[in-house]
Amino acid sequence: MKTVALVGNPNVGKSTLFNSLTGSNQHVGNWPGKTVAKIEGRYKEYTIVDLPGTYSLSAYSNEELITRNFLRESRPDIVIQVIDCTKLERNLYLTTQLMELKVNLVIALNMVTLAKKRGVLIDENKLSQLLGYPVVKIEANSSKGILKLMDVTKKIDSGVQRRNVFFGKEIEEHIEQVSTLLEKRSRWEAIKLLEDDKDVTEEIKRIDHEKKLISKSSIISDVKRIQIHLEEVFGKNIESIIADARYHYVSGLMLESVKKNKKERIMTSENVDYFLTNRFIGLPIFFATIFLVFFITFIISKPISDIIQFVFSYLSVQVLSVFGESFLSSFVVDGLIAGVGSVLVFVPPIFMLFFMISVIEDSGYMARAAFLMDRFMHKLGLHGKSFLPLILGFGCTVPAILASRILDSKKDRILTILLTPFMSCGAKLPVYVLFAAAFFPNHNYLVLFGLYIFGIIMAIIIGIILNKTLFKGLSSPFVMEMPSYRFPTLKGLIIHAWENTLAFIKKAGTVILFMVVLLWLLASLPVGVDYASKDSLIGILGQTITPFFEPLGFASWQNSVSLFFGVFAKEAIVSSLGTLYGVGEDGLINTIKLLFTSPSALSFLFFILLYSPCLASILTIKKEIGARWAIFSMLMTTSVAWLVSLAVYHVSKLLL
Amino acid sequence: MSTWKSDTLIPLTDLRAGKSAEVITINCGHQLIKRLCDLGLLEGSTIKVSKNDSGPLIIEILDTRLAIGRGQANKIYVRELE
Repeated sequence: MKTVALVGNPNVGKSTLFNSLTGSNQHVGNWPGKTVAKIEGRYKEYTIVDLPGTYSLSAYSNEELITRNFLRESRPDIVIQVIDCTKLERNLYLTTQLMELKVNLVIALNMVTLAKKRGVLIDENKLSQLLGYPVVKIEANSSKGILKLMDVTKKIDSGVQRRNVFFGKEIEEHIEQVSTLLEKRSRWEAIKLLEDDKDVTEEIKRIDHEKKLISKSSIISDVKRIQIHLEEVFGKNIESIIADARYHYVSGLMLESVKKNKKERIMTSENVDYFLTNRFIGLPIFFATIFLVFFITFIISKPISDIIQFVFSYLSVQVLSVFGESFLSSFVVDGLIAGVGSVLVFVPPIFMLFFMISVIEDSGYMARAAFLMDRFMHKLGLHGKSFLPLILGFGCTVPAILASRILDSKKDRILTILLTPFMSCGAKLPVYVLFAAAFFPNHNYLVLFGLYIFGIIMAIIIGIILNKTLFKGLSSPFVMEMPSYRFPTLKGLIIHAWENTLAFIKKAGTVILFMVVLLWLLASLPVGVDYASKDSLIGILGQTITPFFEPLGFASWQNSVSLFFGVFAKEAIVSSLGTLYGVGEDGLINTIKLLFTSPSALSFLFFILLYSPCLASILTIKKEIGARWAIFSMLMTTSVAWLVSLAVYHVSKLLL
Repeated sequence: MSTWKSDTLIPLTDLRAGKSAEVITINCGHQLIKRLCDLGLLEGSTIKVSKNDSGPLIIEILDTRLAIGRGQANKIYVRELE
């Protein structure tokens, strides 16, 4: 099977093309709006690989590295570059680098109509002739031109000798010189070495080292001399010289194949930005938007969740009435039905939250939000872009941690990942709802909102502390494109939301179901013991860890056990409380009214808000930044939770 | 090619919104210079400032809008154009 890779700048419609091509065959893994890792799908006899959006093939960020390494090492049979015609110049800059890599390139010109409206007319035949690669006009949104694109892709002849990007006489001479030094390994490596590419320079240093060349006559020092020479000739730094040569080549292409009408462009984005990034009205709009996202999410999802809940409790009653109370029916009702139900209840809010976040991202507002937040994030030693993973943390910590890949520096990533668990995730919500309804029925929204805000405040405090201690040093530069505003497509939104929901169901389906069954087993053993009683295995476990919670006011072995299971999955807290108190989720509200006081309920809520992230998150942290940070995260959050709950309990005892 | 208003080099942060300028030198680290090049901002390119009050600046370059932190913008020296 042949591999076709999709490459392009961010926000050019790559993912839309990918979805049009692969339909429902895509693999899960595309986080809202941002393809942070490559994803695969099928189209007829091709494997289609969607690579992260990238401006160039230098090794600046993670996305660029993923894309570049894939193109270099896996050598896909065909590479389709999707181009946003409204930003032709910068898009073609990437084209020059793909040409340098000698890939089998097909160019898909997207957003042709929009460009035409702005007075940009492109002669694709002329462009194709100049480049020496096929060029096809498409509209990814309406699937127009896609058949033609794939037809051209099918016919591409990989044997053809490809044209080089011409860098101008002076630079070409020196590329040749470097190429000779490298014993003609490849023109690409020569260019990369000349423009001081980090990775290639490292590779060549290794070769220098192997050949035991003394530093004066090594390849690197020879290249250095050429760079200095060029910098003197052009009077600019070497990066600018090479980039300028590429842009020069691009201007040459455009001069012959693109007509720009003198018509004054209507910059709608600029006008909208005037308000949205304004320092006085920008922030209120931002907060209102975030509030609206959560409001809509919960308003729409609540009735659907209620229906699901109703269906499952009805099912339990039916099973019990048909089969009677027995070991097996207890397993079906307390184990299976309760387990599946507790997972499915979350599907509506998670779907809606990801849907709303996709709206913000696809419309282009997310970049403005990052812009607004940068000044503030900067004070925490973070980057404006850190704000995206942190917001996603309100949905689910796992995709939030993955989304931190959009950050360029390692330090930013680690700090962001460590702060993400403080953003109260969707799975903690049921606990808040339950306790707020029981203890603060008149102020339940206030309690909910307060907990979310408190999580953010804790993240700020911990961020400042970590930044002053473990992460001293400069924060990475803030440079970011403000994409044009765009109307998100319903199809795209649904696909994003559904992919994330599916990932949640898969995680929940395996981890949570396993936990529920395990809990049921532990609660039923040793044989003959009353279900979930003090003498069951689970009761013994709970009693062992209870002293730890004594100062916090909510020490009971049932609470301890539910918190213990909460480490495996937060979704399990409410369902295990129901099981352990022997009342099910419906009767729970009356039971906790008897067992908790207002201060101890608050203390319990704050503990759940702040303590260790769930198992899936911990494993993701380990995968992303290593086991040491995963353990650090667990210990740090739990210590913070313990101290805060202690304070909350004693202060509220005085006040309430 | 447009002409310079004066020969004085000023940091990008001193350029008011609505003004255009030619980039003369970029005094950032190599990694950032490369990033800026990829985004179309290099020595010799013409830019227009579209927002410059507090926080990051927004500049227009090659039909795109770019946000850039004040700290970085301070290291980019430009000559204002007529």
